[in-house]
Amino acid sequence: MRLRFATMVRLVLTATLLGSLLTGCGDRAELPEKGFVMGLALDEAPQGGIGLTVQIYKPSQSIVGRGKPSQSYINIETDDESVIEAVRDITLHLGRKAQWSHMRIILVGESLARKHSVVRLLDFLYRDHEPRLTTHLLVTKGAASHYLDTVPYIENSVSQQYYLSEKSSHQMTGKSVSANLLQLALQSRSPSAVALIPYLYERESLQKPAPTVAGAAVLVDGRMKEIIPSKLLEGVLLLANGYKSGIVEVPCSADPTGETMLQEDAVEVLSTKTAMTVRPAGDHLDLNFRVKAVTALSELACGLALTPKGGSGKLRLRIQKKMEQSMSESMDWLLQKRLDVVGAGNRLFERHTKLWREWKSGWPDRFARSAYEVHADVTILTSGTNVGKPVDKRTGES
Amino acid sequence: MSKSLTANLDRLRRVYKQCGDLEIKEWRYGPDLKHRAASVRFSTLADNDTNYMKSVLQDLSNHTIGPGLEVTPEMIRLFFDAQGVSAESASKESEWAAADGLLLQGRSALLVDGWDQALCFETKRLETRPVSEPETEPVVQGPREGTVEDLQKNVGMIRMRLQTPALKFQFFRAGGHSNTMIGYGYLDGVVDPGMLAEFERRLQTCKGKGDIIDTSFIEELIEDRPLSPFPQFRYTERTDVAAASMLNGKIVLLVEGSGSIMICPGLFFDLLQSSEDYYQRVLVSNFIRWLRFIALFIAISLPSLYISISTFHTELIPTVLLLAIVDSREGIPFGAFVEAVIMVFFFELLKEAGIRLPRAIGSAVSIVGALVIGEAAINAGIASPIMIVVVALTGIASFSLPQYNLSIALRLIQFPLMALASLLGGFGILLGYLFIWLHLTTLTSIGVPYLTPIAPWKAGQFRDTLIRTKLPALIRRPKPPRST
Repeated sequence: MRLRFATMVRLVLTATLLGSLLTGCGDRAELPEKGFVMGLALDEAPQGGIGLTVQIYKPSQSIVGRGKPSQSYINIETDDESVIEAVRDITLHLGRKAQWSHMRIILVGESLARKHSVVRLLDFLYRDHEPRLTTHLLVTKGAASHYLDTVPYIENSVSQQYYLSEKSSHQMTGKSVSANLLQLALQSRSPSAVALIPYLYERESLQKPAPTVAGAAVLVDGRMKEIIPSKLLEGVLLLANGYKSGIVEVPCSADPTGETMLQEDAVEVLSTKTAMTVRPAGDHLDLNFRVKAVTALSELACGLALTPKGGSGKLRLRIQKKMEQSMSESMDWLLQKRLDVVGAGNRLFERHTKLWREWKSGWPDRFARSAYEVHADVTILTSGTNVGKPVDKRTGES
Repeated sequence: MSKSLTANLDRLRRVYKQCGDLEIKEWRYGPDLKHRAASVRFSTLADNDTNYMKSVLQDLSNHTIGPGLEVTPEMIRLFFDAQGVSAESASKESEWAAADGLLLQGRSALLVDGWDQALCFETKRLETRPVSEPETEPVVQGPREGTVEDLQKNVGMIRMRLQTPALKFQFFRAGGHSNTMIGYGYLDGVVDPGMLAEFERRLQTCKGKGDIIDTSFIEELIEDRPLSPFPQFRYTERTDVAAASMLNGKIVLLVEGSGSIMICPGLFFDLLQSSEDYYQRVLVSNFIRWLRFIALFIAISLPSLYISISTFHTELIPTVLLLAIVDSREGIPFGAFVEAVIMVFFFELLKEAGIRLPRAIGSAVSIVGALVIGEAAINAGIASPIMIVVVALTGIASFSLPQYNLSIALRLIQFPLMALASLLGGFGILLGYLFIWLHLTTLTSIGVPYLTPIAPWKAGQFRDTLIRTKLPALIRRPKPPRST
């Protein structure tokens, strides 16, 4: 018994000592010894280096959060030849160890993204164990560091605000995409090597610049090529099976030049599913898109009552037509810009690998020659009211 | 014992010198009141209601001889030798040692001149505490009968619940100055004979050790690993729990003068059970049981988890929570480990103060102390609010365990775990758990492995371990007689 106890003690001691050798104490740091990186902005530095702006959370110094300081973050700018060197320089200014695990957003300046491969720029973030691959990123119009200076509306830091607006803008309006480091790497390394990153720009609102996340930057082989405007992005997302939810406006009259104010019905798209078929036809591709959408009525401004006899069927056709129209517009644009955002190249690689190898070299041109068809199949799930009539039938009656 | 009353009384006065409560009364009886007798008792132990001399004389005159005046010592001797019918039961003791023992247990002795034996009468005992609801194990539903300090009463209450000749109770005296009566009981045919033999073998070592004040003395004398933090026996103050555990093949041990019943062996999962598990409906009792398992986990490891996550694995904390913690930790001069040790120490101090003080002040101290120290510690910048939450939650979790000795054990274990966590992070906690498990698997309670239904695996007992199955599957029923 006594012997066993002694053996146990010896075992514990040896294991503890070995254990401390194994892990090392490098990771050990109390919370006040760390600076938590909330956001990262990458820009071109004047002397050809990389400019790094890091937004770091500044804890409220007062006891127990009694009265927050006006600003709960600080921005630190460094520049160097590589990202990792610039990252190490942060400590020179901050004095605390930068902790990357809770980074909310990465902003990449447009000019830098056009010049260098974004995936290569961010190699450090892919390699290091601290940053999460689920960190979201944005491409900014103009210098990225400028966007970190914006004062947030509600959130603690503007990084958190960008992160939330990117997410909700993608999920609720369909006017933006959502991209994190993992998705970027997967898309960039896919056969067609086209990736979509949401686009951040400033819009005048009430005489003040308001940061807005809408539209998307198209990265080909990691480098930025084009910006899809938010109007076209809805159609692109529908084509690429990436549309979550949003509003589709359906004009009352077919005349495209007519007045639109209060002359549109609006439906909320609850969910969509797009099936794309890719069929090689001679020297080009036949693309076929079939969208199945479930919608709910949001506004019935055209004054049409939903009756089983015809009203709802007509409205359904109008919604389908409108969706097909926006998809066609987007597809035309994509073909014209020679951007395979819909993933036709990937599908070709999966189904007709041999053909893909032949076509790979001149792929953008060949994609531009594709023929396509779009079909939408819309289900109206609910009208929002029990009877499905417009609330006020007098105005806007057609 | 001498035939001479004078010699006997002298001996008593010499032995019990300076025992102020020894009361010796001399009597005269018989023709012309020429015969002498004396009654001896401790006035503090035996009550004063009955005059034994008188009742003896009455018995004699009623049953054997006529008028009381004729009684002689010879008659008394003959009467008691022949086991004559008497209103008071009495035993005859011819040895001083035996007579002394009975006197000290509170009996009255009657010494008759010319007879070398003492008549010892059962007397009414002093007032004891009435049977009341046990304070340490209250239940919402179920019996509210708790034990008292009287061994006879306690055993009686258990026997009331198990009305079978299979219920065996054996008694012995521990010796020493206290000469405490110790009793142990079991259900014959249910208890494992090997375990019973081992238990009795260990009890032999207690005999003659003397000076047993409480049941816990026996625990330390017979337990397998006195240095283990884990209790190896279960205590109860409820006779229904004692009866139920005997039905499950356990042995119960009671000590005169103590209300705690020791249930042997006390296995790990027994210590996590409460009698109410069986008085509530099956879903409810399983919910409560799992609540307890979670409480066990929290009580052992919450502070160490906090330390390891906040100093090593910050990336595991959700961002918004992290920022709140960072806010609250900013400006605290100590590291997480020191902060945790200080606060846990404060908490233990407060708890101890609350227990030791008189009840009226005690609760005030614990409430006010916790509030003031908690609030003041935050304001003074010694601890962060999140640490207070962690410590309070750990304390509450340890209180929610039904066995007090287990909850103290867990609070002891949390300190080395905290140290491991601050040195090695999550890996350290893992190491700590590993050693706790290693220890638990090697631990035994009177030879029975501590983790019994799980390691070694006993499918039959497992029905009442992690979950409690429905009662029909648990209740032991005698087999119905086979019809021919």
